[in-house]
Amino acid sequence: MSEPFLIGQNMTGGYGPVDILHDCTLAVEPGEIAVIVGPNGAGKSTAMKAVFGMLNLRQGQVRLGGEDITGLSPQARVRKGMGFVPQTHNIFTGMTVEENLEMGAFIREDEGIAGTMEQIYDLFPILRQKRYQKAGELSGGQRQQVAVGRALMTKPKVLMLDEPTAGVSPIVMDELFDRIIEIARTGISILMVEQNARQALDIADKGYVLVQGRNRYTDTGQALLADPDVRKSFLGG
Amino acid sequence: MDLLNALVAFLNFILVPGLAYGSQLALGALGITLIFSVLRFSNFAHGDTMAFGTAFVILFTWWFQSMGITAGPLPTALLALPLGILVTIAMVLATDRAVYRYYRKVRAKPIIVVIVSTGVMFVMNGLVRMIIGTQEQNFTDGARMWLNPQDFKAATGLAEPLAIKTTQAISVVAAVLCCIFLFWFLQKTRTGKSMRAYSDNEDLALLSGINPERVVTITWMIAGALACIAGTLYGLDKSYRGIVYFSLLMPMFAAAVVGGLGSPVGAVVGSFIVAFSELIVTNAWKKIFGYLVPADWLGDGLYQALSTDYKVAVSFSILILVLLFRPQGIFGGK
Repeated sequence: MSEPFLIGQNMTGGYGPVDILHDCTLAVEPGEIAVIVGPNGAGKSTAMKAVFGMLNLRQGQVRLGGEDITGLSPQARVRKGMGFVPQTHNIFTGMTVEENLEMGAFIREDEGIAGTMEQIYDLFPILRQKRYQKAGELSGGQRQQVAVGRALMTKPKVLMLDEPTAGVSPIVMDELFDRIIEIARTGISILMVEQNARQALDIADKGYVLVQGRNRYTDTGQALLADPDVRKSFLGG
Repeated sequence: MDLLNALVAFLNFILVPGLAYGSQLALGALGITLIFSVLRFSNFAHGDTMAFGTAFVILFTWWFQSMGITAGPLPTALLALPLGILVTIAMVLATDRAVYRYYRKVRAKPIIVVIVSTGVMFVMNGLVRMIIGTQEQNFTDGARMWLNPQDFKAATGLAEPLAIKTTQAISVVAAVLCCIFLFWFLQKTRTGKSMRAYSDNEDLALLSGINPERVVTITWMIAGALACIAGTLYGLDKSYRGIVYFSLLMPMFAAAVVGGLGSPVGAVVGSFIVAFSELIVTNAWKKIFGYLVPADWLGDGLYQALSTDYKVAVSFSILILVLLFRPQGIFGGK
């Protein structure tokens, strides 16, 4: 089997002297949705941040399309085609929706920015309606859409989402998951961390259950949902 | 009752000087608020940056005058201003390189950088004294009056004169032009938007590929240019003494805080609030009241709340009141 499009392999490391991740591996293919779930403090967000270069790895590698990007800064990874949506503070609150998207495309030099913006407005029609409103004045779900839209403006090959549905209502959550599926269908790889494990695994091509910074279970989303051990330990029966 | 004369006296003693002084403060306060929102510290050296820039404008003015170059009815200093702005920008960028950049790199707490800026203030203050001395310098030339009080009296037949000094008119016009440019720059250009984005959410700006060093450099350039313009206008309108600019720090900070630190619109509005408050409190109202009520009602008092010597107390009180009751300012700064 050939190497996955994006892979964080055998990652070990943390923010300080103490390791949070231990030999953790995450991978995702183009057009696939990979979901990281696990109990609180399992290092889910940390694992994703490691893939994005936000912490130093003592061991392991991150490769994108076969290229070793372990030594690159997050900014350099954005230029390589990775988009990241942080869990909080993920929009420019004092700027309009349209300005948020413009800033997302800051590194782009080409002429196609307006076209990409139209695609994002097609994906999230509510944003077109509110394009001249300040992003900080929008509802939680709409702000998440702005955040995802901003990250999509660079036309990334990989989109990484850190708990995109944190703090939004179940209806809005379903809506966001639908949009994420749509994004994946355009060929973008999605790697996301989710608290709502059941719903997230339901849409996942691949699921990673992390415990204490280690891979505990790795399988397709459906298989994990059907696994009695996973159900008992992590999905509440 | 003589409403018309009272109105003219009000215009002459409150409105015109207030607009001019407010404009000068606004240009200074804008620099303070920009530095606060991008570099996240209160720049106590801003007053002395103004003094530094103005000192060079004066030197260039003298040089121009010695060569016989003048601007006709306008002050020669306006010709010297672009050169002064360049020197000021060079100075603030050099300061940033030598001093502030290190504290950005080690991610020093804002309070530490504030103290650092106080150090820069003393250095800048000393430099200014070495360059141009401590004595008063008058460098205003050209036509003194834009609206001559005698002409006004002759034209209207009123007892009260209305005078508008050339420097007052220039202050207001310059402030309007600078504000238009600045707001256009911040709202419409890519660079301006990246400055706002960086000020709004530093981490996300980095993720979006915005270069922080570039944003910082541009912020210093704008703040330096505004400081030089503000200082020159103030010096033209009043007179130049380095130490006076240090005491401008208080009203400028009061203005920036009243409007909401980090909000450019707030800085402008706050400047006029501070300027008019100072004038209203320190003005002797006897003359204006004299036109509104019979003279024997007024007695001997001047109807002046505070002597002009205490005008700094006005901005100080405003600062304290705002910090106590509405610390985020009118326009909700940080």
